[in-house]
Amino acid sequence: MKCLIRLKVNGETYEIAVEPRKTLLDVIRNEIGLTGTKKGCNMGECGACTVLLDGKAVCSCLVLGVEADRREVITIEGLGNGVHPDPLQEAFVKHGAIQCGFCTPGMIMTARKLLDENPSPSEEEVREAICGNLCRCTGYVKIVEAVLDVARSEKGGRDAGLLSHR
Amino acid sequence: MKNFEYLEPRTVAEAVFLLTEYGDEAKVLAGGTDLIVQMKLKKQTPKYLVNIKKISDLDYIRYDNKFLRIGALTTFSALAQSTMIQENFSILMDSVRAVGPLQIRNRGTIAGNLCHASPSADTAPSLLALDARVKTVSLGEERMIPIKEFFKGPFATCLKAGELLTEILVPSIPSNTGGTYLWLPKKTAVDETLVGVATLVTLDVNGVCDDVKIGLGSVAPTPIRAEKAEKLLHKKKIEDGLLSEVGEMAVDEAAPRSRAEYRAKMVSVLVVRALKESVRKVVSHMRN
Amino acid sequence: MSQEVKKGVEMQDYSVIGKRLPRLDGMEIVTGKAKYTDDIVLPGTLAGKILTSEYPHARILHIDTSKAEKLSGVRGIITGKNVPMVQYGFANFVRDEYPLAFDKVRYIGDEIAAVAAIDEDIAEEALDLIEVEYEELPSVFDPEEAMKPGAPRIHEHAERNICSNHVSHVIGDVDKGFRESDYVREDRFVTQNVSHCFLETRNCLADFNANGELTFWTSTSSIYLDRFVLSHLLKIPVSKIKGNRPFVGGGFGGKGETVSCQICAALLSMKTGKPVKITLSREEQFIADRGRHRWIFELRTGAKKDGTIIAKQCRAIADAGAYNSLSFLILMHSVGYFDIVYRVPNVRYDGDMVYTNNPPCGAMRSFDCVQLRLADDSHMDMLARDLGIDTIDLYLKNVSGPGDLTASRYKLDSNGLRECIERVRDDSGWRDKRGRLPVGRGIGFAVGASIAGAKSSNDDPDASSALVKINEDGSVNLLIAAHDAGQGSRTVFSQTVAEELGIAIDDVKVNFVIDTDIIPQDQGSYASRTTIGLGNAVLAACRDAKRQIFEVVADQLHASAEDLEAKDGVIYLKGSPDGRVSFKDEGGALSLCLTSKKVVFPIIGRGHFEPETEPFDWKTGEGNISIAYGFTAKVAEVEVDTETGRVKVLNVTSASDVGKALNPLFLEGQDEGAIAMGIGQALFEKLELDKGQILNPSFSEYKIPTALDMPRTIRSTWVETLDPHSPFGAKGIGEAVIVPMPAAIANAVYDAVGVRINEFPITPDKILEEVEKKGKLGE
Repeated sequence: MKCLIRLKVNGETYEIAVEPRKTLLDVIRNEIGLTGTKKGCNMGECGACTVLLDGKAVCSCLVLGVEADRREVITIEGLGNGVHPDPLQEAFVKHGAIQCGFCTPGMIMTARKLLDENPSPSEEEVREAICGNLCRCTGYVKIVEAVLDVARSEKGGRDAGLLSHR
Repeated sequence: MKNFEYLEPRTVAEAVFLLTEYGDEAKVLAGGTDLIVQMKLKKQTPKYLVNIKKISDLDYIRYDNKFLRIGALTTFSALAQSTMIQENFSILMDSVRAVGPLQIRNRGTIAGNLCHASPSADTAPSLLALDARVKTVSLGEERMIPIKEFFKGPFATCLKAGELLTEILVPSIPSNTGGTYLWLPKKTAVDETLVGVATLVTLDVNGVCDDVKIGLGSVAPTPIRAEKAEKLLHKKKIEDGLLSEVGEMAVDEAAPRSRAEYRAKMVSVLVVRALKESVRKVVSHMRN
Repeated sequence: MSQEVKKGVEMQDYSVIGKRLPRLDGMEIVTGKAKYTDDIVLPGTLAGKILTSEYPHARILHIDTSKAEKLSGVRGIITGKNVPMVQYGFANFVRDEYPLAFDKVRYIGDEIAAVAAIDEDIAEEALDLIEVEYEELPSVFDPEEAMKPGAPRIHEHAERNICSNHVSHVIGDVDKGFRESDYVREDRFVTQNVSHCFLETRNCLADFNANGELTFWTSTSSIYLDRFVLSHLLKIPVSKIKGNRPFVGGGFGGKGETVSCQICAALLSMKTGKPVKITLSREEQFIADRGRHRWIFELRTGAKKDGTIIAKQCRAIADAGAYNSLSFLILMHSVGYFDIVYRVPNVRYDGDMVYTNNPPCGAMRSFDCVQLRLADDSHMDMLARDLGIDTIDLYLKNVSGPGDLTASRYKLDSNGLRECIERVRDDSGWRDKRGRLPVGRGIGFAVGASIAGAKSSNDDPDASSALVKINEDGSVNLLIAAHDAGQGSRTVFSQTVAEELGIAIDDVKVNFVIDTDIIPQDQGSYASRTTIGLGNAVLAACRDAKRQIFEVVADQLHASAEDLEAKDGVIYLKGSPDGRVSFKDEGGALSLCLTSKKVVFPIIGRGHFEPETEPFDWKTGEGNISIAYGFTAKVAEVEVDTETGRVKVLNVTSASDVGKALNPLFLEGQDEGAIAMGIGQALFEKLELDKGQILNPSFSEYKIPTALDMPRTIRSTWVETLDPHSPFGAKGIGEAVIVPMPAAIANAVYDAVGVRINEFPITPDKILEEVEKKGKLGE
């Protein structure tokens, strides 16, 4: 028996009838059609499906679609696009922090959340924040570099009064 | 996953009613980080899933200098961000750090973790060392269960059908007490805990151990207190040789099944390290 | 077609080559727009799932799908009884698989039936309703047991369960060599099964149209091979099969062969008349993976007192699992890898690849050179210590060099191994640290090599082709089958075009998707072959297009086309500052082409390249199978907690002979990723098998390194030997870079606590056990 849910994704409201056993990941990818969020393991172990749910980074494969009723979700598509990219999206490209790209959306969502809550993380804090996002290609080196670079430049921006509150 | 009926009670009373009504066919959904995985693996196939997250006032951390009260729905991230817990119950903070990555901590609840009753649950050894209690509600009854009596076996608690855990109570820690939780992961840095040790040491002004509590995780069918080891140290002066004996005694009390030999060795290594760290914390606090 | 290869040494001053340029497809990925196979949506697509065997070895007596077919939402079911009975396999000489087992299953995970339903949950439920009656057969799980007389026979064609044939490579006389040696050492090592763990699992979306034409999308390293196999199996001409390779989430050698889920998707689509998508779950992927083999290496080396190696012997036995996959080829390559590092007058390598009822193993990054070097570099480290010689000095004394013809007849036209070894020795502070670190701290060294442009077999085509289309506005389309799964090949070949045509990289557009109807063929990304293979094809295509433009410009400048050069947006007469025209500006070269009658837009350049290699000998593994070889060396420093046995890798120093660094940003990425994978293999990763059952088919139980497990300092550098066969002198290095990593860690652990672990991975349990044994011996 399907349940009717109403949720906001990247600022847009969707009303969807969904079986309770479908996960938020399934809803985002299949019902809403936003395929940027990836399914790497479906068990909450790889982080590829990370989205922001009411502002918190979660594995969307461990959240039921019905649990997201009346909640707000941000996916990678909502973070930035080719015209207005998020600084993290640009930094990942610039630093070579992407190889196959499958872990990238989830990784960027986690990194964005880290910088929103801890704008000047140490390298260890960055590694701890992303330890739930598995990457098999990069060894994480350039990912950490990209995140620290954005932290520095966002701090510079804030110091110069250039960045508004996110 | 198999299909199920999804229920969202708004009050504890409603939740308890549903859980009693459906008995074994119902499961409580809190953070979902354990249960949803179990359901995907078909290890749990509830007909009714009772999401308790819409119940208000189950998500809180309160301290009145006598008891720390943690609501059942408090997530690990909420605990991790609590300066009050960092200042007054740092042993619990140590445990929270071991729980897992950001994404899991943002959803996983401390109560859900206890009710899942994995022998390797990271908060359990600390709560055992803290002599915590859990409050439960069922139809017409409220219970206060000491954490020592809570775990019955691997993935088994003393909770009855229709009984909902609503709060965790931790008595305040006496002054001159240092608490530590140390752990070793199974393999990589982000992994299930292989051995978890929690120690709470109270010293008197002469450096004699006034009280000591040792909680062990992942080395027995349930998290346990190493009471014989505690007795060895109780009212004794802290000395390296004695600490090693305490470590060895703790090994005797543990009963690991897989990687047994290595786990046993690690119990003694971690017990000694944790005790030393707890003592160091007390001493440095005393100096200040 | 002639293959012009300009020596890299002639083009020293590059505009685009050698620059740290970001990925051209980077923005697609970071914005979530890049489409991988599972992201492709076709209306009405059914979800497919595959039923696999519960037994490691059994006859299938009966399959009853009737209950499953009645489940609401199920649209079609296939079993071994109703699929084409055509065998297939990676190489044409060992085809031992069917898309679905019909008489026998040979491992737990062997595919038996497939279901298509309106969604995945229902397809999964349907699997539970399929009833299979098995007759269990005796099974065997150890390759040494499997070779004994009386062992259960897994394939009719394989006597003693040996894949293809025993391989024996003999040069000189090792027995005489051992007699002449001052010292002989023997060691036995066992390496473990390792899984690829790419983040995107294997999958296929297949759709048959009303004309019986198949279109499919799949995550693959070899779309043309997939098309060929499907054509062969379904008996449809290749012209009626269109393969699409979208973005791919990692390969590491594990997506180079066509597998059951791809074939079943096509068959189910044929049966149901609807598009069918099969995406393996992570658990299914672990079971179907075909990763690194478990090898048993018995090594014996004889040397003089001064460290000169006189004789080397290897007895290798590897567990292929239930089907050959690429296993036999891997055994053959192992011979060459045994010989490529040193100059040794007497060599003997005896190897067997053996079928067992374990899940099949296949190709994984370096084709198991990493397994061999893990054993050999550990062995040589011990040999050096026994002789009282520094390990690095021992290697330098015996190392192969440029111009060598190895004992396996590999022609090492470029070989920077010596420089790599010296570089890591100097960069890591080896001389100050080796033998001087406190107990618990250690430093270790190892080397690696890989082919960089091999043919997959003697008979299969291995040509690479490219098309370059120059448009009137000066933009260029590059059409190539670059199977980029993260290596950055799309970008590197775009750099090649920009450099060769003398234009800005922003003017080059490369296809992100490979469509077999439109894109010229390349066999795929494996064996590190595309840098040279596709690189040369791209160069040839650029030169073909350039020639057409040059002829027009030459007329204008009253010169001959051979005297022209293109660089930085300009075409000019060599050595003359005045004779020049802009490439794309008004009045420039392309304008001239527009008005000329010689050339029509778009200007199309075609190029292709096939490496000239020797056929290899199946019985000995000898033959120059690759056009070039890459080399590398690594030093690792570790800290071992002597109470817990836990190992922390503190830093890694790495130097690799890449021929020419086309894009250092990408090379670093390859090295860093390889270091992570190597750490995983050394310390954490092992597929646990119990009577053919994989016990840990999940990321919670099979652990790959996280950001917290990595060394905090990595120094990666390059040695540029400018290979003569290659565009700009570059060689593919994606595989070589992983080879030394596990051995360097193993040797560092020995240096730290004096303990040698002979079975991998090196776990804290094993370290503590050995440390304690040593302690007792010392008492």
